[in-house]
Amino acid sequence: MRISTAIISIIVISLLTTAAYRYFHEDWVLYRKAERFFEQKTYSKAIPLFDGLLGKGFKETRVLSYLSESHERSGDLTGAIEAFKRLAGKVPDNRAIRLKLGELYDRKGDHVRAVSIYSSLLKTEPSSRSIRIRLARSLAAAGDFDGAIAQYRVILGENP
Amino acid sequence: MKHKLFLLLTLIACISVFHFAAPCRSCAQKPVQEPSAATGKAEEVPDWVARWELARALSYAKRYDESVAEYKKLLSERPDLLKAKAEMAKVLFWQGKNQEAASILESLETRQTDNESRLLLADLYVARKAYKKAQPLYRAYLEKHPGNHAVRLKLAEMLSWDKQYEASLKEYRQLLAALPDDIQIRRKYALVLMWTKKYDEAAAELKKTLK
Repeated sequence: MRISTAIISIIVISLLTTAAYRYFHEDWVLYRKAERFFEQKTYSKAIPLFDGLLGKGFKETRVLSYLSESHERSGDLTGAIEAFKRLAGKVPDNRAIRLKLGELYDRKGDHVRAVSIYSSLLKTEPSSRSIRIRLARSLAAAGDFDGAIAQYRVILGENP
Repeated sequence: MKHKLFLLLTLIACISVFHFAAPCRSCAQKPVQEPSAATGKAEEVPDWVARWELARALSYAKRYDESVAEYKKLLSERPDLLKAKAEMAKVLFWQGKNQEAASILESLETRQTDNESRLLLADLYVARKAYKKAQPLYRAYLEKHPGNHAVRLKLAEMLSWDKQYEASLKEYRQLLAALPDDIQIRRKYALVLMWTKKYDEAAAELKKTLK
C-alpha cells in the first residue's frame, strides 16, 4: 500500500512539475522545441517558433541567430538576409555576422550591398586579405572590373 | 523511511524540471559560426589564387595584354593549372591571336579541357578551314549535349563548306525537326539542297520561308 502511494505521488509530482514549468516558462519550452527542430534540420517547423519567440522579445540575439541560420539553411536567402540584418543591428561589432551578410548578398546577386559591407569591414581590418579578396570578387561580380583589379593588385602587393 | 521518500520525490521533481529546461546538447554550439573564408585558415589566400582571379578580371575588362601577362606569371608559378592555360587561350582568341590560342588548346589533352575550350578549339579549326579536325570536336560535344542547336548549326554549316552535303543536310533536318519555324535555318538548308542540285526540294523549302 505504501509503495503504490509513493509511486502515484511520484507520478503526480512529475506531472504537476511539468505542467507548472510549461505554464510558467512557456517561452523556454517553445525555445527548446524550436532548438530541437533546428537540430533535426526541420527548419520549416523551427522558423515559426523562433519568429513567435522573437515577437515576444525572448532571447533576441540567440533566437535571431537561430532564425537567420534556419532561413539560410532552408534556402530562403531573403528571409536569411532580413534576420541577419536584425542580428547585425543587435551586435554591430560582430565580424562573422557582417561577413555572413556580405556572403548572402553575393549569393542573392546583390553585389553592390556586399561591396558596401566588405568595404566597411576593410576600414577596420585593412590588412585582411580574405576580406579584400571578397571585396574584389564582389566588385567583379557587380561589373566594376577596374575596382576589382585594383583590389587584386593590393592583395598581390603591386601598385594598383 | 519518510525522509528517504521525501528525498526521492524531490529528486524526481528536479529531474522533471531539468528535463524540460535543459538545453539541446547538440545545439549548444552557437549556430552562427565564423564563415569559413573569415577563419584563420582562409586568411591565407595564396598569391596564385589572387593572380588567377586578377587575370580573369583583366580579361573581363578587355585589358587582354595585361590579362595574358598575368596568366603567364601564374602559369610560370603553377604550370599544372591546365584550366588557367585554357582560359589564357580564350583571351588570346579574343585578342585575335587565333594561332597562339589554337596551339595552346592543342597542347592540352581532351580530358584536360572543358567543353567550352573544346568548342573554342573547334571554332578555331573552322576559322583555319581545318574542318576534319573540328568535326570530331563538335560531334563529341553534341553526343553529350544533343539539344544544343547552336553547335549543331555550326556543324551543319561546316559540313556544307567541307562539301559533305549529305551529312550537312542530315544535321539541318535534325535542327528543323526541333526548330521548324526557324526561317534562317530553313534558308540555309535550302541553300545546301541547291548545292546538291535538289532544286525542287530547295524551292519548296524556300517557299515555306516566305509564308
